Amino acid sequence: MKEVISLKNVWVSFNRVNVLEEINLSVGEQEFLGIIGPNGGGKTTLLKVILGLVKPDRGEVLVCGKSPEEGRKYIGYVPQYPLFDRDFPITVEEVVLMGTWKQNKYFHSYDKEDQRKVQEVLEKVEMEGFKDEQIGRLSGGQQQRIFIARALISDPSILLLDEPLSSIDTRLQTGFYELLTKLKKKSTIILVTHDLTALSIYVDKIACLNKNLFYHDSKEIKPKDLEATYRCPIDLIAHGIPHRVLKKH
Amino acid sequence: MISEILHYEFMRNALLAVILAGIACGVMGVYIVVKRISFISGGIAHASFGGIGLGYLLNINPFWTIIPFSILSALIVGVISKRTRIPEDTAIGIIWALGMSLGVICIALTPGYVPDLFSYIFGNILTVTSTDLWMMLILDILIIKVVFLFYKEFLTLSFDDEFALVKGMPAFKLYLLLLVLVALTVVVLLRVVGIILVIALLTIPAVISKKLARNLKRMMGIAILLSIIFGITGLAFSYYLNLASGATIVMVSICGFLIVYWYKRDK
Repeated sequence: MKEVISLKNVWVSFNRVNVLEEINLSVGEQEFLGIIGPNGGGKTTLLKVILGLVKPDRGEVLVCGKSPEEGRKYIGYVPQYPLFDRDFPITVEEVVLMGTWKQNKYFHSYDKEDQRKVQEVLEKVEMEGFKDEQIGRLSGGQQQRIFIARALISDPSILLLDEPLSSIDTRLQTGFYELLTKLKKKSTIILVTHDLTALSIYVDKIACLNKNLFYHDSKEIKPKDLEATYRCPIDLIAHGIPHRVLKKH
Repeated sequence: MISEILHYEFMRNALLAVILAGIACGVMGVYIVVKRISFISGGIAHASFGGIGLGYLLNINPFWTIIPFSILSALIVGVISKRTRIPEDTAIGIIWALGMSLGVICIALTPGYVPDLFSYIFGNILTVTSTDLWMMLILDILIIKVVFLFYKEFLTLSFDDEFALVKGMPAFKLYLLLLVLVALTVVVLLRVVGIILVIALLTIPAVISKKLARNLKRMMGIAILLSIIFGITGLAFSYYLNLASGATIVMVSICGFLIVYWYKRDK
């Protein structure tokens, strides 16, 4: 399998405090990796390292064999809480159109094709009726779906999702995972969450992150990894088949 | 009555100046408000006083020295606030004071009487010359042209600068370009309200229009319209009540702001 994301011995610190230590990660084409870990465990930082927004102190990061700055164009990124002014005068359509920007599109205005794509991705996230709404007027969950649409519109071969379900209600979560399953046929997906229940049968692999990354080429979480990650014994609530994330024990 | 007022060339010039200033501050005010850089803009405006002083010292039209000076201060504030560990507000304070003290020193060194100095500090729209108007027009065209070319990029940068970076936009360079445009807007507004009051025109019309508009283009249109209305109303008040024009325009704008906020208080 072709490797699309590769991190080798990556260390990151802020103000001399290590946030990530010795991270080794290899994600192949069309893989769906779920990363879990406590808040403050470095999950967002890890995504930002892949995006090249955070420079590691040590180690090598490659996205599609290129530096993160160059590889970025293949990535669709959905941030955890997009920091924006809720009164910002901007419509849903304009936000989603931002995702179509490419280096060679300076001085071009958005065209019919772009607008058609907006319609298409808004349908994918079930928000097609909200094109002309001001984004600040939408609920948190609706806003999150708009930001997912913004990431999808560029047909990214890699999708990075930071807690994408934190404000999406349960009914839509299932729909969201089904959407991801469809996207998986074309894209590599990394989904980060602190919520174990958010991970389900859809992911191919699970990794635990708390400064260090515990990563196996399988979907099973080992209880000892979880304990190392959360630094305390964890009660595991394992779903039955087909939602099993743990081996029978 | 209006024809009587327009009979005077200085009044015609003043009206044209209000319109030209309204266009620049309507467009750039929107970015200043949504990107929350009003204090950077205030800092750039005050720092450009150094350019005024330099112009007097070199005995040339201060316009020629203000433009490079304000652009330079915009770039310095931008670089310091984004590329060093000095906090943004500290950088603004330092550049603000640096420009002003340079101006004071230059003026002290200028031999003889310094004409028109107060009109740069507090603005005097009634002394606007046709050279000033041409200069304002050229700067307006330049500002609109650049905003038109980089509209998408500036929108993304203002809304979500992290996403701008993720998309591979040169976010830092675009930010500096935006600050340079702010510097040019300061120059356009100088003759109308003076450096001390520039910040009012850069923020008030735009912040009101933010309450009224659903997208950035409409916000710019409303802000331009409001600036022109405030400018003309202020000018009329200052003419009949014999008050300083710049300060009257600002007072009218603040009244407008209070009225709109009162009506839209629940939103």
